[in-house]
Amino acid sequence: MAAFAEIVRFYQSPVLSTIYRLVGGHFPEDVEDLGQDLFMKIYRSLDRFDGERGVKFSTWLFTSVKNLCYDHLRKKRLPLESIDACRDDDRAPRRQLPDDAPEPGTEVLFRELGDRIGHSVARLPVEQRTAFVLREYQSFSYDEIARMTDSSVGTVKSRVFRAKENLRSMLTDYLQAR
Amino acid sequence: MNEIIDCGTVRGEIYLFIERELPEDRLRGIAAHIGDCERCREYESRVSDFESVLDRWDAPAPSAGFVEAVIERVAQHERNRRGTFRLQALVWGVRGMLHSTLRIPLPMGIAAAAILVLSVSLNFVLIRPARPTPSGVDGGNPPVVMVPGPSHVTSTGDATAAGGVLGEPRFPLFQPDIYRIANTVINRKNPVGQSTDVEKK
Ligand SMILES: [Zn+2]
Repeated sequence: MAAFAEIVRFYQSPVLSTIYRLVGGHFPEDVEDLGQDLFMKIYRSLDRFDGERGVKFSTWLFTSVKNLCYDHLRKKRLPLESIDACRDDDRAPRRQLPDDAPEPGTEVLFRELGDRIGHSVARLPVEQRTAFVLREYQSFSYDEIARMTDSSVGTVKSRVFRAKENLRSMLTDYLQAR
Repeated sequence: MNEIIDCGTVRGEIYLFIERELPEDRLRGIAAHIGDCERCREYESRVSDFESVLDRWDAPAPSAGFVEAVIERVAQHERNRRGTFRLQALVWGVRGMLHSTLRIPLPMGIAAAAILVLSVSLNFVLIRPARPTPSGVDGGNPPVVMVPGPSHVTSTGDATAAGGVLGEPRFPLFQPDIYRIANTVINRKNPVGQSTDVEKK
């Protein structure tokens, strides 16, 4: 149990931030519950992890993260397929500046930019979003992401490319206005 | 080997170029093209800026009690699992005993156990001795009657010989009211001094 607590302590931050980036744009209130579910699932299936077969623990762990997030989105009946099908609602967390706030400093601008990126990422088709998040924020190799998502390396590279191009076009106006 | 790199190739591979996720000669070829082509140079600069902007998307830190909450759930899971394991062990133990020692299949064993329990219960219910009752009928002597068990009931024997002795009940811990009522009725029919043998006339 103590050893497992160490695993949770070590991975809580990357796991929760990935869940947040994959589903938090639509369901921010579910992120920590999903994180708990994930670690329970990992605990119950630890004996099935076979490091001898050349699979890294982190690859195995984040495959579960991805599956859990997909299951959650399906359960919530959120379309996974296209940008147009994704909801462009106001569920994405946005921080409001108070009316009497002074000129926003760099910190505030960065935070607002972060929210804007999160909102745009939430609109990406889920496979683009997954490849992009795992590559950009967890620094997995294209090969590892291909294993996690059961796709070819070429497909993963293409998804990351399209995700970034979509984000760039969604954020262009905002970035130019700054 | 130097490849011919055009603007389309640069646009298609710009992210991999920035990440240096291309073979060395490809990286060199794109770098050479960007050096010569102003449009691609501008494009590369815009994409690089965009890449650095992506770093601004932070995720919230885990809440303070997250690890403890997970470990509590794991502990709860372990407690439940141990309970289930004990029950399974009991079932398997009984099954193993019935099957390997007595050569009895589990369903038959369960049926036998049920019959055993039922017959013991009936034994208690129908022929269990009663407590002494205070309702004396003769000079303050309580007409305490002990109902004998089936093995002690004879058509001719007296109560003492049959085991239906006056005194302490044989099963002091297990005395539902039905025993008391049954014995009270029997005592009314069989005043003290007479045999308490149910069968006796
Ligand atoms: Zn060019």
